[in-house]
Amino acid sequence: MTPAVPLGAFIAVSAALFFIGCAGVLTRRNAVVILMCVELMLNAANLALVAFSRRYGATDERGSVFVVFVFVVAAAEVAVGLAIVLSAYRTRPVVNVDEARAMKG
Amino acid sequence: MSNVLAVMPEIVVTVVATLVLLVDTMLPRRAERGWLALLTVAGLLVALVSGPFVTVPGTAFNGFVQIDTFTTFSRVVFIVLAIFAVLVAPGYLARHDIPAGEYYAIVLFSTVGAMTIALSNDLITLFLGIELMSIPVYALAGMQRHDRYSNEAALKYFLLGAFSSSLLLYGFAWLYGVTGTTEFGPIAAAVARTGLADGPTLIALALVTAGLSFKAAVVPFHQWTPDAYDGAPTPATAFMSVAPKAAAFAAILRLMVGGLGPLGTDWGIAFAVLAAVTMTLGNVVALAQTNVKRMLAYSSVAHTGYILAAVAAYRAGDSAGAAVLFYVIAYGLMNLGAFACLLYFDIEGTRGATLMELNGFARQEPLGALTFAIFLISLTGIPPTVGFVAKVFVIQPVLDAGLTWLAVIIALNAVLAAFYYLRVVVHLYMHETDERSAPIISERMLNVSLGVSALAVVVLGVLPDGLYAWALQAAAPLVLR
Amino acid sequence: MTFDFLEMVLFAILAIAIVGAGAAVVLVGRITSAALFMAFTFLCMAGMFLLLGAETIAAFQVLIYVGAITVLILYGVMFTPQGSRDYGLFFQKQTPWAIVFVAFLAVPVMVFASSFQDGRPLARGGDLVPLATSLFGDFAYPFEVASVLLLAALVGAIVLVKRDDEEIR
Repeated sequence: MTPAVPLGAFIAVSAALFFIGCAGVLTRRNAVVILMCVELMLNAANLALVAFSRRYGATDERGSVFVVFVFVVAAAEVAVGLAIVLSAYRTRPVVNVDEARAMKG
Repeated sequence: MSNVLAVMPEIVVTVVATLVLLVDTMLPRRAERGWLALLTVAGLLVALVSGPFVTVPGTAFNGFVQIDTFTTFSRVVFIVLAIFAVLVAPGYLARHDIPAGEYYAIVLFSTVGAMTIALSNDLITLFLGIELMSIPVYALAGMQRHDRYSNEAALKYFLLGAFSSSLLLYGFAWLYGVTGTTEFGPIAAAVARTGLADGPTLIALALVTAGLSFKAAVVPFHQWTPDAYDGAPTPATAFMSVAPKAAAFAAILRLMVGGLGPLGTDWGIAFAVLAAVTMTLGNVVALAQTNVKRMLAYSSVAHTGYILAAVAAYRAGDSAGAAVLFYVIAYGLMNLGAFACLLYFDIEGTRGATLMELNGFARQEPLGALTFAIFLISLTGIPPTVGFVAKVFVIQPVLDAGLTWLAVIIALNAVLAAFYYLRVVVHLYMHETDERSAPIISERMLNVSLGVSALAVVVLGVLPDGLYAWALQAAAPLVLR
Repeated sequence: MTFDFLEMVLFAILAIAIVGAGAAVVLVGRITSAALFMAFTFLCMAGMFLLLGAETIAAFQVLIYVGAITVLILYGVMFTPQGSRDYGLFFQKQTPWAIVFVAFLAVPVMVFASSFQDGRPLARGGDLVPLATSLFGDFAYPFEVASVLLLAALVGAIVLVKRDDEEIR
């Protein structure tokens, strides 16, 4: 029995989400929003991994295992990232990444 | 049990990290914390020794961890770099009110990540290693919390680091999709079958290359480098300019050469071009800098180019891999040393000394100036230093691989680099102390550790054979036969 | 047959929701709204995992992403005041160029993405046992590394945000 939705469709959705996140990182200026866009990109990778794992002739759950580790990494990244944003805010009350353009050259 | 023994050095470093954190909380708030550095170094030495005595070469955890000569070599590199990074830090940490215990623990966590990269045998372990190596370093860059440059450095480093991790992860996901496995060996077999003919493999390769290039600071993915290095607290800069870069190259060797080697004819030429652009741009921009810390930041981009040139010449066989490893350890010693020499100058905030502020340093601190000059001469690539030997070892495989043009560019860049490195030496030695010179700080631990690493730079420059032979051994398991 | 059709419809709805909400995160100006759209994307993603037969992953997705990470980010939004200065991080000054660049890359990738064909699928459902078996067997070392990573992140985050002695007093 072939599944109703082809594998390619899942991967296409994941690629679309990945590039949406990518565009967000490249265009948005707020550090927290950039962080959200990075999370979207990680989620896109998760979708691709699970889709490949369950549907691509894989013999084990390796993709799903990878996804579990990505969850951990994402949580750690967000924790450190927000701490950095908060500490930057405390020294200077602006979170726009760009505001701090003191260093040039 | 053999599984546990296989990763003993990693376990020891982790345990030392938690131990340092615990001891730190038990100390009175205002106590002298210099000896915490010694405790950390003692722990690292135990880890260093535990490697060869406890672990047996081979695979562990059902083949998901591999302990080969490359792993052993890389462990030593990362531990040695961590030792120097810890030894130069205490004075600066105390002066700038940076929590010492956490600082050392974070350096140790990052080192565990780097070591994990070296022993990885599949994409999952590699990815976790890369993250464990980089996430603590983002925090390290921002540890001088009341300094806005430090905050800015951490913010930029973090955002681009996280972005590059997601590029890398998406590349890994596609690689898994293309090959149906995550282990390097089977990946190599699968891509050898398909080649680059199909699009998805190309996309996966491009994403992985971009992600790893960010981590290693290859042009055009280097933009975070100057700001992150410049703004971070100076001892942290010394660490983050060498260890993450060494780890990134360990990842490149493991994945690109070990896993994606069959596609090497395709990525090899891309890496050669990237290498040429990286070293040239790094050197040209470094020429224009007057702040020594920023200049060293750009010059470290140029050194990435030299190392990448050796990776691009992977076809030359073991000598290319050995050149990468030798250059990484040479670069680690001299660049960490050069950044650490900036710790002699008492300057507010995280900013490094400008050329003028170096004036007359040789009169006030002859030995310190000598070590600084040795590091700079080695970075330039003048004999009898390790920097010279490392460049020779890089040029040889580049020529063997038929990339003569790249060898010419390397030689031209070495000349270009001489201008700005030797300009610093001129300011150290030829100028008198004047009102612009920065006040000098002299500390015993800093003097001793810089002296030892300067001595190593010279000794390895005169007698490189032993280390090179070991690097050749270490490179052997990477290349597919 | 009808079940297949239902699956198709569900997939279409989820795909549109994911792409739409994802685009909204990038496009809306208000950061709180962006965070909520992000949470919605995560939730739809859990639906996708269910469609793929990975129930455990879907549950984790809801717990970790929709729960923990969204809440963390909302806290981040609340603790940082929002400005609207026009500056750019590196290439961000050239927004149109960035869009063109990303679109240029996205088109071929989307084409290649849809070229993936189904192989021999794993059995539907019941993915917890094989997942746990590999997690604590083959991947025991990365699992331990992940725990060290969380500890390191914890230490890093605390160091960066804890207040000084003077501030506490």
